Amino acid sequence: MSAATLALIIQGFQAAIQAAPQLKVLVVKAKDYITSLFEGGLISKETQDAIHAHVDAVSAAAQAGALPPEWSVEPDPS
Amino acid sequence: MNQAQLTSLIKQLLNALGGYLTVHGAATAASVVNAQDTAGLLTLLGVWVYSHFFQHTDVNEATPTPLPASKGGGVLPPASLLFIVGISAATMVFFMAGCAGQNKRLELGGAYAPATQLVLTNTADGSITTNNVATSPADFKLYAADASFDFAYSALEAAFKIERDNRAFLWKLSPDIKHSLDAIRPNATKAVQAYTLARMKYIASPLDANATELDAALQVVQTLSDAASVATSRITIK
Repeated sequence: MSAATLALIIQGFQAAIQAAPQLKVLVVKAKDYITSLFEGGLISKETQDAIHAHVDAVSAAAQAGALPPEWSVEPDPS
Repeated sequence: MNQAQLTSLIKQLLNALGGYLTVHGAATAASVVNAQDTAGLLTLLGVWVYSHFFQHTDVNEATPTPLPASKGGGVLPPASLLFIVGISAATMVFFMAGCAGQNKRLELGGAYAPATQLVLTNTADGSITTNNVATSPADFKLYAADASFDFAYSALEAAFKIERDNRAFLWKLSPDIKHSLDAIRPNATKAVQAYTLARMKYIASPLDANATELDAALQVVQTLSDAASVATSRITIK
């Protein structure tokens, strides 16, 4: 295995570790969302308030033109 | 066709079906179709069906393979495989869409079912009863739209952030990953702004016309979220 390949593999592991928190958030949200499609009954106040607060925050940021930097197009790496 | 091609075919069919459903107003069903659990389950079903109907036992074969190519005179033509997978996907989608929203209530006092506390004192024994009383009708439609938007926004955010945080590494794999997401980024920003405007309009005046506009804005966000998922699913190490 060449040094370049090994370096690429290590970078891959680092990328996976860095992506883990973001993916964990998404996986939890996906699980909750799909679960809510099947479960009947009550949607709790806490669930409602959490979703409402997050969408309110996103709305305020979007209207102010202040979405996070990852939403902007940046120059290609040199 | 080998197993990798079969898996890829199933995922492409689901992506196409999800896009079709989104465009035609079935946003909830589209989100379910594009869920990873759905893709995994249908892949398992597809592989089982393919191996059941296409696997030939031949005493002259020295090393049987898991999914051998269909030989002349196979039990079913390849078009039937697409039909079976398509029917499985459609059945699952309509079943799940039918389950969605049934028997669901918003707890009083939540953001989408505002209420006030009514405190009643029994003058006879001094006991106090506290009840939540709705101050305005519960809005399940807004809750459903916001919940779907929250999920789609989070998926877009995850795709954009992961790509940005690991840009140098992903660039070496393929420049197309950044370019694919760069094509989505400005449209996603506009779509989120359009949804938030439609939401403000609906909250100010919850008419059917405004609800339709809200749904339309949501569909655009969901379509872009699906596109970002497709772009990031193409990450492979060569």
